[in-house]
Amino acid sequence: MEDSPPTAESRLWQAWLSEHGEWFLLYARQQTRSEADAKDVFQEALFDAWRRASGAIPDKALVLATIRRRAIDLGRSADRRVRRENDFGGARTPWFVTDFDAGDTRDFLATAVRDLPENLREVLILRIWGEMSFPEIASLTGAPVPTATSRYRYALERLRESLAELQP
Amino acid sequence: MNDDSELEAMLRSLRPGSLPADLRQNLTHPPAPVGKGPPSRLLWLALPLAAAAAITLGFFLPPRHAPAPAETVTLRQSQSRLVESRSLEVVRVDDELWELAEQKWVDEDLTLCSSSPVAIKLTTTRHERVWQPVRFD
Repeated sequence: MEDSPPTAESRLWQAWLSEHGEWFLLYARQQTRSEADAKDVFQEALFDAWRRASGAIPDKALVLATIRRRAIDLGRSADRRVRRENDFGGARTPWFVTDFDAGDTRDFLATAVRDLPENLREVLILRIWGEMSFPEIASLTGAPVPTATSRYRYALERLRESLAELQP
Repeated sequence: MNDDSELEAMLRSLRPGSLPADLRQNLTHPPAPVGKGPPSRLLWLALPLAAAAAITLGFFLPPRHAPAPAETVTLRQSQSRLVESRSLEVVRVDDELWELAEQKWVDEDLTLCSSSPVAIKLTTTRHERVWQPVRFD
């Protein structure tokens, strides 16, 4: 069966996915505790946000808020907890692209980001890869702006300490 | 360049992992809008069946006569009966005799309304004192 040519909406969807998909998935991964949950949450949130936007490009904050809400709902579910535990026993899916030429520092940093406490890591991801302002982060997470700012500072401090361990 | 800027630049150089193949496959097309999907085969079957059923019922059901516009008619009948008369006094005025009489009347009001099957009958008794000429018939 021959595929029909992509519609304007389909092209818009693909462009949006190419631009934001990877870091939306990164945010979903950091919000959930298994790769399977991250994929579910990511897909459902994208579909939900797209439908709500009625053909327009969904607002970034809306997508993130939907991911966040769905991840919290999933986290409360007992059967998902079992699934997470099973998933945790397997190999961890890398969150970042592995660059073999870049040396150990980048891989170490990627691992250190992943191992940050959840509240610090969330702010860091939203700030660095989401390019969001602190008021935007505060609005999404429900934390006051000073709290969001200090969490970001703590995250950087933790990462700096981790990198210091690499120094000879 | 301070420490933060250097670290932030290093973090930005980390690229988030690409979408897994299975996820990318699921996201090839945007989601169908809710309520705007193509009608199912069941719906195509149900619509002609519903139309046929409506036409059949139209043939077999007796025609409905529209009721005439409701018009409320109220009938009222009043009747007064003299049930008792008692002479109290007789006086002569200009060679004519006049009698003061006390009369007992019963008034009956019957009300019928077309919008209600109930008839309302109201009965009251009243006493009157009247002057009337004395007749010797």
